[in-house]
Amino acid sequence: MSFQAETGILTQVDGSSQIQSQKTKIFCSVTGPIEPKARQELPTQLALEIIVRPSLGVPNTREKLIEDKLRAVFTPLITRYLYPRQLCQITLQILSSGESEQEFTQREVANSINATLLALIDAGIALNSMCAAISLAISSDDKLIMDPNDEQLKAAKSVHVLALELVESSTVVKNVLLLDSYGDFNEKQLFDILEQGEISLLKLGKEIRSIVESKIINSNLIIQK
Amino acid sequence: MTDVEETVEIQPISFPPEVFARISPELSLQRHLALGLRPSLRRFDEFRDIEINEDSLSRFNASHMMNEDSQNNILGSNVLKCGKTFVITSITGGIIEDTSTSLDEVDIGEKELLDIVEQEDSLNKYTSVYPVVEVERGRVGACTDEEMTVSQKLFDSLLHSRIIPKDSLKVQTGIRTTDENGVSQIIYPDEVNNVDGNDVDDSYKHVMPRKKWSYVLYAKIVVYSRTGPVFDMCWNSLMYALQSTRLPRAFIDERATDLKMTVRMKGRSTTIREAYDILCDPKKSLPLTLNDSNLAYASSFGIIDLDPEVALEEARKQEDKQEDVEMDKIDSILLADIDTEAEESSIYSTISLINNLKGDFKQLSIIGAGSRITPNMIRNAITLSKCRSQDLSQKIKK
Amino acid sequence: MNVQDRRRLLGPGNAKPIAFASSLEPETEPLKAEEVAKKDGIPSLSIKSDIIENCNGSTLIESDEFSIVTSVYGPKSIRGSFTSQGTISIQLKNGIVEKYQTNELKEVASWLVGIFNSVVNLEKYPKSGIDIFVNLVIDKTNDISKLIPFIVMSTCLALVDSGIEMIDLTTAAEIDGNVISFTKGGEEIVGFWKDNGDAVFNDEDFTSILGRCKEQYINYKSLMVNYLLQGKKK
Repeated sequence: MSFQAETGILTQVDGSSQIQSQKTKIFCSVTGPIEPKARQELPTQLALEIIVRPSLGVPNTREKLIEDKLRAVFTPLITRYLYPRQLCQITLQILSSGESEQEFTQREVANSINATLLALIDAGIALNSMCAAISLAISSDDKLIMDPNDEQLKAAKSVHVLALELVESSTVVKNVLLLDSYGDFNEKQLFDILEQGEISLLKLGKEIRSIVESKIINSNLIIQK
Repeated sequence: MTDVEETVEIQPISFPPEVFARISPELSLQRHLALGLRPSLRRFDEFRDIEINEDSLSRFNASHMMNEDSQNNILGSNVLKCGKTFVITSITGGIIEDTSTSLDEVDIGEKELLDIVEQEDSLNKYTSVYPVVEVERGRVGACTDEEMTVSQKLFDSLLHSRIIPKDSLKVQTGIRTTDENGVSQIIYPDEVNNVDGNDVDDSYKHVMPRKKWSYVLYAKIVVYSRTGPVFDMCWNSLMYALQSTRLPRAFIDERATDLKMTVRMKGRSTTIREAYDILCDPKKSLPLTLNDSNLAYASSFGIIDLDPEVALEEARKQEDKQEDVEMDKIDSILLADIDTEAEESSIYSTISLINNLKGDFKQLSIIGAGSRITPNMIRNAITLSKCRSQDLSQKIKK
Repeated sequence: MNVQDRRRLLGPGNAKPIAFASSLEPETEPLKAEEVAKKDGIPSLSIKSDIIENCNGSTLIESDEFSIVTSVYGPKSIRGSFTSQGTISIQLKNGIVEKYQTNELKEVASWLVGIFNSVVNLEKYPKSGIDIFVNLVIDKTNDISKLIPFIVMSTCLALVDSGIEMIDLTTAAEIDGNVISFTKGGEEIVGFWKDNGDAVFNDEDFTSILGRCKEQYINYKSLMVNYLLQGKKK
């Protein structure tokens, strides 16, 4: 899996990123820590507000479920105790889903996770560790496809999203943050997904690190000038 | 004035268990777990028993009274009781005109081509139901995030499980004819064939409508007395309800068969087609054909690290006897079928799966926001979920 | 896609709900309805309290004809300005079959609020709200007047179950579409409902209906008292 990413595009928010992988294109902005509304406030931790806007039409239950999955991934990742009684707003705009929206969300979820991570780093929100996510599919002839395209998703027997928590310079997997699978698959395929996914995601984690690194180097240059 | 001499004694406060569970759910849960129990007094790998009330509410299955109720439009139903919680699922239907090219108009060559393109198990041959989940919690107003995400997850899981083939929702239309005496009769071509054994299909062909219809299924799922996560119960109840669903036979009036009128309005001529009023037979119904091998049941698990510091004295003494236990090793345990506020609010790592009788998965979610999820944990969860699926599938009489 | 309610999965907008043709056979129902009406006696009821975990009090009343689940939430604090006594709100909900119009249910609900305002000791609960939810889960009667006595009964028992202080037990009785709710052993009327059945024009007819309702009320009340005492023994 490979993707193009850019960070710090928006000037009015604390952090932003844009990610493109095949035909999927997502924009993410992060605002925070900011003052929350009274009902969002948590006495000891940072509250998260995640908003996903679809490429077409208005958000509905489908986007709510994507938000729910993103929340599951980022709640343990952010060092939330550092910002008690504050709020972090994460807004994702899907520019192009790159898949049939009626049936799939896999590409959007995986790329949203990566985009959010980059935007959070750009915003300077403290994180416990890194993460990386990928969509996967198992084709009708039982082949595991990494980062499937729309046609491959449609022809697949099962479709998956895997997000792993990476530590020690993205060389060690700490935990499975999210594995969300639909379709017809068995136990052996499940562990295949975890093993093969781990290899790809460690690679992807390094890629994400290099994006962050180059961004830091660039910003240092600006400061030195 | 208070007496300066008075000494203030600080006494430890003790709470009754239910109060303690409310103020400090995490500590309460850990204390229970240290004793080898859960707040619900279940064992770690014990599920709640499920009682189901097979379809007693729907129009075509109800044993008495209900089927004479002309307003009853329920096609399938289920009442599921799980611990203190109960879920009522009712399936209703709608009819939609098929706008995709009807197969009659596609010549054979093209049809073969279609078959090649659409692979045997392709997702677009299957459909889902539109679920609306309501969790009663003493509030009015907009639906909660939980209701929305559970509904959407049910929809996605059902679609990807390939349980309802689109073909089984196709309407096989009948015709209502009225003879010269004013006596109406509904004829279903497929039934006539079956009875006589000879092919009378042709005699009806000219009156059969060229349009095609499909049923659309809706599920209303109401959860009462929520004590913990509800997805499993909703899914299982939906499975039972779908297995009991019967689709009404539908017909149109012979007068409506492909009636065309040409009307001239201000010089422009348009063809108005009689709007088909497709009606459903109040008595006759067909069972909904499901892809039985894909029927699957849901179970869920939580994973939590045991906090050795919380263990009560007795438990610690017991541990002291086994000297060779490594002290710095964190023990994590797998809890089946999460329930109660304490478990729901302090367990962050969960495994939720839907699998069929063979043990193949239809849906699986692993969320690792808390304890580390090891392959062994996953394997244990899979083993337990297989047993659970088998047990649940036997609840329904075939 | 339906834009009106994007919080729910409503399916394709052009789908029509299933419409059943009217039965081809002659209707036999009216006869049956009469038979039911003839017996003034108490239908066999099954009452069960404390069935819902996440509320303060709940009751399920079932018979062959209906199944009503009532849950009471409260007394809980309300927002806004100070109120010297508790406020009751009642929501009536259709069950699995959408039988009644929303405004019809609202009308019954506000009528019920009137009754319970006079039997709940509201002075005890300043700054509090008592929210009552009545679910008509199953209903084969097709006539809400016939259900009202049992709605009142289940609400009253759910309030008892929640431990909210009551001045008296109340319930209602129904004769020919006239629903009368009593307290104080039938000495006081706290509610009267009529929206179908024959009109009553003279005092004599009404007195006889009142008498029959009172009798029914006393029967229902003794049923409730027996149920509550049984629970206490356990």
